[in-house]
Amino acid sequence: MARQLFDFMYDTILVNIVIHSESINIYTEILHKKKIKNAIEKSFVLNDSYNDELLQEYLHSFCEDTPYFYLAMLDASSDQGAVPTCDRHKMSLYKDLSTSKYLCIDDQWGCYTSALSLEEEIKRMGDIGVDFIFSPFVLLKNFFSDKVVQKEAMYVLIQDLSLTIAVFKEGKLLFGEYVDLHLEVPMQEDTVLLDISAKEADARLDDEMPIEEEESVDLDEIELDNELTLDDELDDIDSLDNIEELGNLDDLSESSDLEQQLEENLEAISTKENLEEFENGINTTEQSSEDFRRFSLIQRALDHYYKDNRYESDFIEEIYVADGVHVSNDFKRLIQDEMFLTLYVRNIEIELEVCQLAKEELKLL
Amino acid sequence: MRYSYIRPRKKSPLTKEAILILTFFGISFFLLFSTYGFLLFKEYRFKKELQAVYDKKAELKASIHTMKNAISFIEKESALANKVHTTNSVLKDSISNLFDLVPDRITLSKAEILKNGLILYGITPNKDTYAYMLEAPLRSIFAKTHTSFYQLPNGWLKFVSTNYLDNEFEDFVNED
Repeated sequence: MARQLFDFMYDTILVNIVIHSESINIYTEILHKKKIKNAIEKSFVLNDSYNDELLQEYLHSFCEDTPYFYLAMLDASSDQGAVPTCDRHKMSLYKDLSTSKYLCIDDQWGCYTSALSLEEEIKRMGDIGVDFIFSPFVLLKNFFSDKVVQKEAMYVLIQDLSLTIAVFKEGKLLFGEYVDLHLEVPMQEDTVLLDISAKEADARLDDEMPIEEEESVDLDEIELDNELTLDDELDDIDSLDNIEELGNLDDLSESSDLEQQLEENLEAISTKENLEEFENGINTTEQSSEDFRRFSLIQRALDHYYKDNRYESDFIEEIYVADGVHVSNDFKRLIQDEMFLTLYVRNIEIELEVCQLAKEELKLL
Repeated sequence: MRYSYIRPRKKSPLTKEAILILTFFGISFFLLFSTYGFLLFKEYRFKKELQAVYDKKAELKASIHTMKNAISFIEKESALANKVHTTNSVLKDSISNLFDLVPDRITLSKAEILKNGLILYGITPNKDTYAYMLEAPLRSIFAKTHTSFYQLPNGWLKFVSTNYLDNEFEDFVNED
């Protein structure tokens, strides 16, 4: 009776915070009696003028409106992961959990994170406090809830700072790995890819052809065709077929050659339009580099899954990607051509998914 | 807690505004219920007083009825007393008149006044004296008069005169 009265009196505010490389995105949903009354999105750019007080000041405006204020975050700890068991003793086979906090999901598998990181994340919010901290593995499972219950497949959540890689079979997690891109040492393949992509960019600049924006692939479209459609122009990157060979090269002289070539091209570009096109080309190159890095890490994770005897491994045929950064077609083609996996990409609004999880926790759905 | 590493903090709906609102409503409800209770009490008291008034009224009505009966009885008694007084006066007058009627030569030894008649006992020297001096006035008053004489040794006569009023007169007397 009293609860219903207070529900009638007050709104429920769900603030969902996701930390990205260059910004902190906040998605706020205001609910009244389980119905969305308003949704607000706010982004704090992590530049020199940013400090946590700005964030706290923004959040305080919601705190004062209602007592039913919940703050949910996606765990961004680098020391986190998932294990295919709920038994604490068996968990120790995969990870020493003495300094970690773990959570059992569906009595089948568990996810863990560093207790210290959790405390830091809570402390960061000051007196506002944090109500929910979700593991990206839970988010991944929830996002692909219609798929994870089916046959064995790999699921990847791509964020700009991290990769969350999991293998699910009939709703149970078989393998889980969280990769913090900041901590991972860039591999030599990155340099090679940069070389290839830069060359391609140069070639395009020479032809004075505009570089097309990478189009995101609609999952439904892919499922209908059952294969990825690629631009013909991207067929030019045939050299990527030999990427592993190139990756083994220790000689970085090509990188310096690339810089020289770029400098020469830069001098050659005199008009402003050509300069913008060149910058676009550089951006595309950087994105391709990041995507190749992601591809490499996914490939390494799959290799780990296959080779590590602790995991109950089976042959993976499909990979589902929750794309939070809009990966390029290069990445998609690499996955399909290099890993021989059927790729399904679904764009994800991570803040919204965190909000969904918070609603599930609060039984607001 | 199914998916989150931490439990959500307890949310108390009692914010400052809520406390203010609850206090306001609390006081309002208290005043309302107090007023309601006070009115109920007053109504109870009023009903009780009303009942007392009704009871008093009924008692007074009963008392009035009793008093009316008493008054009626007293009036009847008064009327009766008046009637008796009148009758007595009449009787007194009658007796006085009767004694006035009796001449000095006749001596009454006894007189019985009946409802509708008069019986006189006495001594007369002779019948003529009686007939002229007493019987004549008696006959003028009474409808029926009958006299019996007895001879006394000294030569006087002892008489018993029985006199009755007529029926109409009797009825007239009864009506009064």
